Amino acid sequence: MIWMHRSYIRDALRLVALGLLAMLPHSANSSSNDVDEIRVAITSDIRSSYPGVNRVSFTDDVMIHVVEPLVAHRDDLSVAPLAAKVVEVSDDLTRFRFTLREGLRFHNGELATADDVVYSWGRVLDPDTGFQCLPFFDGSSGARVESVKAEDEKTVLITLDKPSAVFLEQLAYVQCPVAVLHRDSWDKDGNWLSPIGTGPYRFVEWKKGRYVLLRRFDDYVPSSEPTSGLVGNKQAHVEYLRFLVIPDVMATSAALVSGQIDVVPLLAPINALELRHNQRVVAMDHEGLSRRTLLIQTDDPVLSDSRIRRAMAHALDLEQFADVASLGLSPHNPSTIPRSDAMHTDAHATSWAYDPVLAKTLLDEAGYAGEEIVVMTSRSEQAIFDLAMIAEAMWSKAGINVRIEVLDFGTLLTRYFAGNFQVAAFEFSPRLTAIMNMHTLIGDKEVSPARWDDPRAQTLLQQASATVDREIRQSLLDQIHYLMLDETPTINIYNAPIIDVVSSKLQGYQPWAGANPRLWNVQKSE
Amino acid sequence: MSTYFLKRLLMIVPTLLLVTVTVFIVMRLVPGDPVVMMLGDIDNPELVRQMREELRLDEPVIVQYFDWLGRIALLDFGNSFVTGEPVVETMLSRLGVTAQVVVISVFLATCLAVIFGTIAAWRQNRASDLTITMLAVGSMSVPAFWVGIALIIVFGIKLQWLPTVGYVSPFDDLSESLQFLVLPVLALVVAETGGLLRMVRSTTLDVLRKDYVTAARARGLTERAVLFRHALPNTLIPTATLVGFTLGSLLGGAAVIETVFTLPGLGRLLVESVYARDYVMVQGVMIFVAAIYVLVNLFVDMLYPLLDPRVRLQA
Repeated sequence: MIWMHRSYIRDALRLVALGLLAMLPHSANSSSNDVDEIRVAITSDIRSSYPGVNRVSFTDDVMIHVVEPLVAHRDDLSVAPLAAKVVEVSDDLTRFRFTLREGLRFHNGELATADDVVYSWGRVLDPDTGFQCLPFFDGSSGARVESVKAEDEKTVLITLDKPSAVFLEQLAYVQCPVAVLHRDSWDKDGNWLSPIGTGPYRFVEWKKGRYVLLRRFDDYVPSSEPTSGLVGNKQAHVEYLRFLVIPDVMATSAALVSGQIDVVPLLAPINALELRHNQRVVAMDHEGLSRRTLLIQTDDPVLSDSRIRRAMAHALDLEQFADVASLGLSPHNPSTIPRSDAMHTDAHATSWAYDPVLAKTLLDEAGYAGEEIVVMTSRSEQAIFDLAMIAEAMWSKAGINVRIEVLDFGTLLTRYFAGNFQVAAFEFSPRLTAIMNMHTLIGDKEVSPARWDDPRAQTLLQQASATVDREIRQSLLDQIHYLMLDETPTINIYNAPIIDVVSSKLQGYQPWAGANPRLWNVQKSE
Repeated sequence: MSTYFLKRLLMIVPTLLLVTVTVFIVMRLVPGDPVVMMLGDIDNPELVRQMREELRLDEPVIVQYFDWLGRIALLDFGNSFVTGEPVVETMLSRLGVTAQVVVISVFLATCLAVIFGTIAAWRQNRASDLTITMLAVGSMSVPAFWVGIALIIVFGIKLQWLPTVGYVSPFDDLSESLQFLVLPVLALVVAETGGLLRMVRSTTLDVLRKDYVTAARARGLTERAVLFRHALPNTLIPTATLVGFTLGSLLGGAAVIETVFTLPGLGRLLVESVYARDYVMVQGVMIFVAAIYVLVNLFVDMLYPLLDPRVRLQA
């Protein structure tokens, strides 16, 4: 009996050993050297393949290759046609006519028509779809889309109930693209299946928790415009794109240097620094749009006095703050508008001066008696944790009694939306337009308790959103900035740098302000 | 004997009921709104209201609990808040990944522990015993994730022999699948063998001091016969018990190794679901893990009569 057991064990061990030996000839790189596949690391899985519905930022990373909205952003964040070839806007800013690009074809081979655009819009405007940016189009946050009509096979007319100067920008919003989708993307009951879009890559497979696989769409007819941002001439040089879910940053770095993955978008600066001497990889940085800031709750009993809020700003050496927090990669940006935005003029470079004496005077005038001020932050996001730590050090030096409250990110986000904080070290994800960025700061506290509800700021923002005159809009945005400096509902520190680390085998890869990894026009060598 | 197992089986019900209450309360006590987590910093109060209604998060907690309990009694674990996928389907697919790594690891660790633990006991206080004991203590001292990282550096980065991220199902490609399993299995084997080995060694030492072993030696049996016929079978019950605990806990909690090696297993699913406040998924996984733990240990208990005739006779 015992000998029988022993023979079982021996046989089992022999099998395992044989298995291990059989595997060794396949080296780690044997499959990853494939020049026909670019592998991109994403830190968590996509939640669905439905653009703009159940999404995370990684969904956007995948979807920019698969689907195309009528318009999208250029490198300079201006809006340009994408699925459309021509966009005509009526003088009163209520009618938007789009003519589809020649040769715009779905991944199932059918030509895209104006009817397909109307159908896609019907889905977006249906409240049951759960389109995350529906308020852009249903009148709850701006103009309402009154109708979407096909004028002919290639022309679509969208009519709004009132003028909107930001409609095209909202249409181009990368987080909620109103993509031109084939109706077979849904089943006959209207349930989402998978995207049949018009992008340079088609959606092939999603192995949940593991990867998303895209394949080059050979019938893609690119635009003849120059490549810029998400628009222009896109050439899919590589056959496959694979977005691999790798949650651990150490595992990501190891996979990159061993050649198992080719692109790591948005690597934290500290991790990128560790790889700077590695010959197999190249780190590329670009100024980003994410705003790292210290939000101040203007309704708080202690912080409702703007002199205290201003004192807090003057107590911070913001240039040094940004330099330390960004590891020298991003300068201080006091504005809510990112520096790379054309609307970020000299006015928006005006900041609070570092003046501890003035800070002390303002605190005395406001009758500040050392009341504790709690700064909410999270360790899940190292950057915002660092913001809180540096701020605490500088504020304590100026005699402000600060305590840091460390929360997990979910709790922080929930408390942010509830407005339940005094000061929040926070990061806003990229908004590609100045108006959208301003909307993250200004709003009605009844609806969004974290927002700054100054009536003057709200009026200025409404006016800026409604005007088509660029100079007037600029002037209004400048006024908002000065008002913000005066009232200090937030202390903007810097825009998060974008650091994409890629394999040295890739050619043509460029990071951009929008932060999504763009893998068209990229080639991979042996 | 069957009454005993029936009782053990029935005991699972209150255990799992307790787990449902604990998990449900703990998840509700953790701050963080699942809907807010899903929407990120996009501010859409109407959609928040709509989603809370759809997910029935607007109902009183007690109503939510009994509604959920009623459904799981019918084995309907619901759909994930985040992906909308059925919880059971997701759990089973993830369990498949975890089970591959854990079962192979525990099997190998047990084999190594039995072999070297027995040798160490047999050669007590000699060089081989000291070496094995030292290695076992080393194995117990290093956490699995550290071993995992070391293996990644050596075999993934330096030698580039084996892949360090990803997973391939054996049903898709057996050879490639095995490549992806080598390092996580090795990490778990290194981390788990020490404890098992120490148990085998100490149990074998106890057995070797028993009268019946002395009697066997007095009858002139060879040391090999004494060891394999009289000592080893008597060490199997405590070893099997520990193997059961290890297997049960790893099947539900290999999250660290799964994260380090990017394996889409049950442990990683649990961690991700906790961060996303995917209540339904967390609750489902916790019940599932508790059930696995209880059932694995029940299975081990059922093995006792096979491993030790005395248990069978007592029954």
